[in-house]
Order: sequence, then structure tokens, then C-alpha cells
Amino acid sequence: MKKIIFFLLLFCGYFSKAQELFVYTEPASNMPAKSVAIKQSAKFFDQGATSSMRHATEIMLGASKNLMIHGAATYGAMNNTPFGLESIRAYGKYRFFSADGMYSHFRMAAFAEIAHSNTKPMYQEINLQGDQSGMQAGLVFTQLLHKLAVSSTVSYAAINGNSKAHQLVMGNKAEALNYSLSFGHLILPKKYTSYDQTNFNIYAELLGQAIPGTRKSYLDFAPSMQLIFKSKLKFNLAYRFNLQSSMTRMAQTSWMLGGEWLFLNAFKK
Amino acid sequence: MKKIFLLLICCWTISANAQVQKVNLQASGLTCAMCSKAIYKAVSAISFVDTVLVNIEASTYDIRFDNETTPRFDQIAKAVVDAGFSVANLTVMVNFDKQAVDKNGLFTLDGINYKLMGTSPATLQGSKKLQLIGKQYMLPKDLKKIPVAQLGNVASNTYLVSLK
Repeated sequence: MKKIIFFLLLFCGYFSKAQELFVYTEPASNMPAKSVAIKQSAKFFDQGATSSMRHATEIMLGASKNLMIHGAATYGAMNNTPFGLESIRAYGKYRFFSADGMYSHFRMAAFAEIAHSNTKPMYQEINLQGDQSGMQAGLVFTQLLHKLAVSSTVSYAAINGNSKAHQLVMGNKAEALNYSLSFGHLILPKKYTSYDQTNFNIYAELLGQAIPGTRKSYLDFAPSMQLIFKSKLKFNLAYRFNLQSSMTRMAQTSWMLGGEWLFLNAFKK
Repeated sequence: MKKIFLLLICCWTISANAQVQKVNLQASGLTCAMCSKAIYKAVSAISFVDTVLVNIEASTYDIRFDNETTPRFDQIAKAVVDAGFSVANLTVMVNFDKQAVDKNGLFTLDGINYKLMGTSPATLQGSKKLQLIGKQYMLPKDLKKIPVAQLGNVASNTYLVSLK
């Protein structure tokens, strides 16, 4: 708890600029129209005696000023299975409200995603980024002020799977409410003079899930840092740990390392 | 001597074609360099844009045009919006040479139609700044200060501007 208060204090006015390029969640803003980004990440799950690693490749597309589309695949050798493809996922986000000020904005977006996973159900946690097949839909609210970027996501997730294996792990109610609260700040550069300057950003994200059917829930805290080179190449390093949990999960703590390449004006309309 | 004469003719031709010298754009809704670069790339990609000079900190872009083509200010605003942001201010820097203005404030320059807002002089002379007025060219709080009657009374092929 002390750690969280420390981080939140850091964000409340100490630094001078906001950043909304969050590591675990999407802001309500979209990528520019006609741009493409490729994201590669690796998650390291600390499972006590053992650890597992999961890779993800995600392609993101700015279809129009308001719509962006992602396609993703995860692969790895989780839970002592042979290395291979674990899941595929499609995601779409539509920005439906935008109020821009000079150095601020408030935006709202709706998103939906659908995922298919080959992995065997093993945990009560509902996770569409590799563990289960299902869908999710929700809303994102992002406020960018000169000094602080705050974003919140609320979504409903349901997994497919009335199989006995699913029921054994999940019970009959495999629906979840996901929510998040993210804060972001730019630390460097102190003054922008060129697009070639390296940016250093820090983020703090609260990530929660509640499964009403089984009355299970968790709440994680994920501090992260980010370097952006030449305004197009991002590197993220994040640590995610459990504050509270009453469900079985892949891991209570995990690390994530990722890179993202942005190609502006990648295609013509 | 011939060379100098030729050079003078060239200079005269360029200055005669370039009464619209440049546009100063201020974009809103962003604070990051990646966002600023998205706008820079989008504006640079417009066919009639020659060079773009950016001040990332102030979120301003000095845009210069090819002399051969007629700039379209609405396309500049659209590029900013497509990049995911808004225009806070779009000002055209013009070098007038005894430009006649009709009693309704209408005039045409380099093939572009303008309508001056408010009381307008009969002629415009010298270096002037024209701020574009309209929903796509300014912040909502600035737009609120403009009388509604002024906004509605403009033809679709004409830019409403105010003399700064």
C-alpha cells in the first residue's frame, strides 16, 4: 500500500507532462488514421517453484480517425506444454466522444474483442489474452491534463466454454467485470525541441477483476516505465503484482517486457 | 547582366505567385512528441505542402506551400483531425498588394475566396494575418465568442477570416 501511495504522490504534480501510452490498458484516444503499429511482448510469470513465459505479437491499425483495429496472437510454453500457438484475438475500438483543449482532452471510446485459445482451462481468472476463448466489451474514459493523464476502463467479459473442464475450474458462471485505473507521466525530456529526443515515461495502473457468479475477485498494481526513441519506437518494462486475490490465477506476480514500432502514414485510404 | 536580369525576373515571378506566404497552425488535444509527429507527418503528406517547421513545445506548425498549386486550408484541418487531434488556431500570412475588398468583405486571392468578418477596409495592403474562423479551425471556447449570424452567412467555397 505504501508503494502505491508513493507512486500516486509522484504523479500528483511533481512532473510536468502527461502521457497516455499506457502499458497494460488502451486509452480512449486512437492511433492516427492510416498508421500501423507492431507490438511484441513477453510476459514472465512467477509461479513460485517454476516460472512460465508467454509471447504476444499484436498488429494495430488506425482504420480511420475514430476506429482502430488490432489482431494478436500469443504463443509460448505455459504450464509445461510444448512451445506453440496458444491463442488469437481480434480487438476494435471506436472513439465516440472527444473534447480537446489546448493541452488537454477528455475522450471516450467503446471497445469489443473476441479471443480463441487452445490452452486447457486451469485457473479461475478470466483472461482473454491467452488463457481462454470468449468476448469482452467495454468503455474507456481518458482525461489528459497538462500534468496528468488518467484513464479508466470498465468492461464485461464472458468466456465460451460449457465443457466439463471449464465448469470444474470456473463453476457455471464464467462472466467477469474488469476495471482499471491508469496514471501516466512524462519525465524526460524536460523541454521538447526535436522528434529525435528520447522520451522517458512512467505509469501506474490498477487492474481489477470481479466474478459475481463465484464471488471471486482480484486487484493488481502495475508500475511501469517506457522509453520512446525518435517518436516511433517504444520500449516498455512493467512489473505487475497482486494486492488482493481470492481466485486461482496463473501467477500472483509477473514481469512484462515489450517493444512497439509505429509507422505513420503507412497506407493510403 | 543577363543573369542578373533573369534572376530578378525569377524573384519577381516567385513573389508574385506567393501572396499567401505561409500558414501557422496550432494543434490542440496533445502533449506528447509522438502525437505531434503524427500531425507533422499527416500535414507533410498533403500534396500542396512544401515544408513544415514544428515547435513541439508550443504545438505550432509553420506550413509553406508549393507555388504551383493552390493550398486548401480545409485539407490541413482534416489532416490534423484524421491524426486524432484538433485545430486550435489556423492563421494565413498574406502579403497583400492593393487587394480590393467588396462591401460584403469578399475578395479572391491566388484563386482562394475569403470573407472578412466584421467591418472591412476597401483595400488590403502589405503583410497581414488572417485567422480562419469556423468549427474546424478553432477551439470550442473561441468559437463561442463568434456571433452565429457571421458563421452561417458564408458560401461553401469561401473561407471566413478575421484580420489579426
